[in-house]
Amino acid sequence: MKWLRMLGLYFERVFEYRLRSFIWLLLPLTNNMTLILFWNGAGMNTSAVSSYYILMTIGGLLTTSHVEFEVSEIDIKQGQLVNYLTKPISYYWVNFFSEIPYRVLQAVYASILIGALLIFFPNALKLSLNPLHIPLVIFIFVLGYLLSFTFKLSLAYLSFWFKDIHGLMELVTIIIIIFSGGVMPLPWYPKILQTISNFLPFAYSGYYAITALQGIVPLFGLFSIVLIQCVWLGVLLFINKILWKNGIKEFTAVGQ
Amino acid sequence: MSTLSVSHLTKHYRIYKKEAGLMGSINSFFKRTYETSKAVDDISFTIEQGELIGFIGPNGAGKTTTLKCLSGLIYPTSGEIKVLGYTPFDRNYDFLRSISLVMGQKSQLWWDLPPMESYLLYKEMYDISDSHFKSSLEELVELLELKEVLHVQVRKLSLGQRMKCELVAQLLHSPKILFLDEPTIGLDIVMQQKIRSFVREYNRKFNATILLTSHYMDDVKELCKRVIIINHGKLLYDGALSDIVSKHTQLKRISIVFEKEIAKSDLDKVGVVISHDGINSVVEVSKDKAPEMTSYLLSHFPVEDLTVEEPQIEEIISTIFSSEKV
Repeated sequence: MKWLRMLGLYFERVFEYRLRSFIWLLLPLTNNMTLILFWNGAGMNTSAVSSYYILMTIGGLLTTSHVEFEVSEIDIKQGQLVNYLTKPISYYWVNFFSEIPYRVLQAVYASILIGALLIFFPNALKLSLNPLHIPLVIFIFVLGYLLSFTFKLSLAYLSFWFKDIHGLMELVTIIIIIFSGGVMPLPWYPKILQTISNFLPFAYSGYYAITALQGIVPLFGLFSIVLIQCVWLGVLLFINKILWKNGIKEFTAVGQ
Repeated sequence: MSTLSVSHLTKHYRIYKKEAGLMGSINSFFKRTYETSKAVDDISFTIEQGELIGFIGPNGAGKTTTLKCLSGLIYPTSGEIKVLGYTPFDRNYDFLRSISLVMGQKSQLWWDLPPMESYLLYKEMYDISDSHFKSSLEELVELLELKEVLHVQVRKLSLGQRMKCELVAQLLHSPKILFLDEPTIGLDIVMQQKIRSFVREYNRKFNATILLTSHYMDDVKELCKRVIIINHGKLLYDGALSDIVSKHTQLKRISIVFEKEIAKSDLDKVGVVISHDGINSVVEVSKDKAPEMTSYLLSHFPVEDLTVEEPQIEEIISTIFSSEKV
């Protein structure tokens, strides 16, 4: 019940700042539109390319967590963490629920975007998803979000030790973009980068969720994605717990 | 067993030091110098259930750091703390349901939403039953006269209203232990008085243990029988406020207004002349000689007005801070 109440409050807060989530929609959309133009100029098949980047935009909106800035800058460095540490509540889940309204709102925007594209530009988006696979695809998206969230939260915990991790966060964002197919589809990468990508969790957040949504992965493949996502989630949760347990001892609540 | 016990508590911070200027920055780029700051340095005390204690000291004395350790916010460098049998830093949920930390300079309410929304969240967070929540909220709202602002966004409230709303939020679950860090800071005199009355009433009604830090000695004088004084992280005094006052009031000050000008030399035989402008004088005498000197002054000088005072508590505390001994 407390999480429902908290979720309700986070929704209320999101509605207080109506433009914020819309801006967060425009950011990846603009970025990926630039890439569509780039590939179009390079003479690549517009339909396949545009379909990929539009879906990457949607995948990114639904599965990419942006929890790191608030946790690092506001909670740890400015000491707002005090508000949660004195309450009988899990800080991990507080942050998890604080992001849900944004993801839901982005899902609404994404649905509108997909609907509009399918109606007005049917060639711009290719979906051949088996309706029976939909629950599993949704589950892959949820796990994808949890992966991104747990990774970003763990990254933010480094602020317990380092005064400024802003540059590190930027660097990691670029690495995530590269190894999650943000630049181009992973099969287009050189072999070595594809191999590295397979040993990193980033593609299992948005990229494989997108391939699942496209309907190009058979049922067995979907289960494989879920299995690998679960393994990565376990690893990241373990790292997250270790970082929290040790990091919190470094917390000084300065200025509070 | 005591409700709260602190044994040899120490909290050290590692602080990075840099010389001023460009060269200092260049040097620190290659070699960093760190110093250890002893925010709390080996302090011990115990507190029983229902006590209302003033925790006083100048800025940077270590008061807030101690409160943070007691409420489980920060990890002590060494020493042992037990609050209601729990180690605070473990942040056991039962422990957290039994305490509350109110910081006067800090909002724990949701800034963009009315206080009532935060209260409803806290109800769920602390597993407060419907009936307890209703009665507790009604009582607190009435005591603090907050009915009109319950549905107004927190960011639109005045400082005083916000502070009162913070208190309600932190007391809805009826904590057994309350840590109040500067609860009256920035408030006007009327509001300070209201908060003090409320704290006193809460302590009396719920037999709650309250540890209060404040820069306003009026808060401490009005509310606390026992005070703990710390400075530079060290405990200087732990005992009754009245004891420390009487220990430091071996002298009395006689303030006199004369009808006509009197020479300063005439007053030297009365005591130590603190100030004298011919008409107005302040003379310090030992406590046991005060009655004798008062009657001497009245019988030998043209006195228009005369008052005998003890040093102000603020002066006593200030003396203790500067001399670092009680």
